Amino acid sequence: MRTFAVNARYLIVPIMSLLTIGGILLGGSYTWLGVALFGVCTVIDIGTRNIHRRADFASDGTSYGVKRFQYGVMYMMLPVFIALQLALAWQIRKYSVSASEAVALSNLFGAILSAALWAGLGIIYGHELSHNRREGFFVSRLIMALSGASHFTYAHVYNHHLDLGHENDPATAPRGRNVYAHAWHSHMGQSHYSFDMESGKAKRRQKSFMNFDNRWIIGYLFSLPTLVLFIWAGGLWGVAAILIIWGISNFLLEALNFMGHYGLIREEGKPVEHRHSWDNDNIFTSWFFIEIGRQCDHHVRGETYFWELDDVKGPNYGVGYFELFLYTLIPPLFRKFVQVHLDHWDQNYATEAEKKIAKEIYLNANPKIQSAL
Amino acid sequence: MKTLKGIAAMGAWTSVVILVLYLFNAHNHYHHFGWAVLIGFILLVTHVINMVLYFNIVGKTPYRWFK
Repeated sequence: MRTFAVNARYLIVPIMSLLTIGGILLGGSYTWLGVALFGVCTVIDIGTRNIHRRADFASDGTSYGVKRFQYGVMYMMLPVFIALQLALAWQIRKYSVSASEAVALSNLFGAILSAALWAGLGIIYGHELSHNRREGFFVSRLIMALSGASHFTYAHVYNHHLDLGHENDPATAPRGRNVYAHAWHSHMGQSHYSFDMESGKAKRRQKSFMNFDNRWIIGYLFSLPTLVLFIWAGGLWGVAAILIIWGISNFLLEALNFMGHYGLIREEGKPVEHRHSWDNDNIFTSWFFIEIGRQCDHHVRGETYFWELDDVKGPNYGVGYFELFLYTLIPPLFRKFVQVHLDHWDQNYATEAEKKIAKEIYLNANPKIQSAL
Repeated sequence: MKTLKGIAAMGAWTSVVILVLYLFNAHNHYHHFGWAVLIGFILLVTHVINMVLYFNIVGKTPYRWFK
C-alpha cells in the first residue's frame, strides 16, 4: 500500500495533462479546462505551503519508488504531449476551415493557453530524463523539441550543472534580474552553449559546422514535425499558436531555473554544494513537479532518482513553485520577498569569497536592489 | 544594447522571410501537406539563422554579471 501511495502521488501532471487533452477535444468552454486546472493547482499549492515531508524510505533504507513504473510514466509523457499538440492542431484546423462556425475564437484561445501551460509544465519530464545517460536522454531531447528547446538537454547537464551559481551558467539568474529578462537570456544562453559545443567539436574533427553529427542543428530539426503540423492545421493561426505554446512553455521552464537559483553565488572552481540552490519542497510542489523543487539535493546528486531526493536543510523559500511563480511575475514583489532570503543566505550560508562577489553584483546592479547593501 | 541589436537583426531577417513567403502565396497553400512541410522547413531554418545572427551580434555580453 505504501509503495502504491508513494508512486501514485507523482501522477498529478499525467492525469491533469490527459484531462486538458480531453477538454481540448471536447471543445466549447471545456478548452479552458487546462487553464482552470492550473488555477486550481495554484490554490492548492498556496494552501499547502506549510506542509513539508521528507522522502519516503522503508526501515531498511530502501526507497518505495518503483523505477520501472516511474520511467514508464516519464516515457509515456512523450506520446501524451504529442497527443496534446494533435488535439490543439485539430481545433485549429476546424477553426481555419470553417472559421468561427465550428470553434469560437475565445475557445480556440482557451485551447492554445491550456496546451501551452501543460506543455510547459510537462518540461519537468524532459528535465528529469536529461539526467539519464541512456535512452532517457534521447526521449528528453524529443520532449523538449516539442517546445522548440531540444538544446536544453545538453546545456542543462553539461553547462547548468557544472557552472551553477556562476556567470558561465546562463540559467543562474544574478541578483537584480527579473524573470522576463532571465527567460530570454537563459534560453538564448543555453542554446548558445550548445551551439559553441558543436562548433568546437566540428573544428576539432576538421569538419564543417553543417554536418549530420551536429546535435544543435539536429535538435532543432526534431521540432520540424510540430511546426509542419501546426502550419498544415491553420497556416498563420497555426504559426501564432506554436509561437504562444513555445513562448509560454519556455517561459515556464526558465521561470523554474530562475526560482531555483536566483541570486545564489558560487566561486569559480569550487564544488557545487547544497547552499547553491533554493529548495521549494512543500507537499504539493514536491508531488506535482516530481521533486524538482529539491534542487539542493538534486544539484549535488544529479543522477539520483527524483523519488529519492530529500530535504538536505539547504536554502529554502518556504513556499511552493506556484506561489513563488506568482511573485516572480511582479518583479518588485519578488525582489521584496526574496531579499529577506538572500540576506539570510549571505549571513548563514555564503563563504567570505561568495559574500565579496555578492557585494560586487550589488554595486554593478540596478539601483533598485543596491539598497540591499 | 547588444541584446536589442540582436533582436532587431532577428526581426529584420524574419520579416524578409515572411515577405518572400507572402510573395509566393504561401498563406494560400498551407493546407497542402507538401507546402506545409516546405513552409515549416523554411521557418525552422529562419529560426536557426536567427539564433546564429543573435549569437554573433551579442557574443557573451548578455550573460556576464559584471559590466
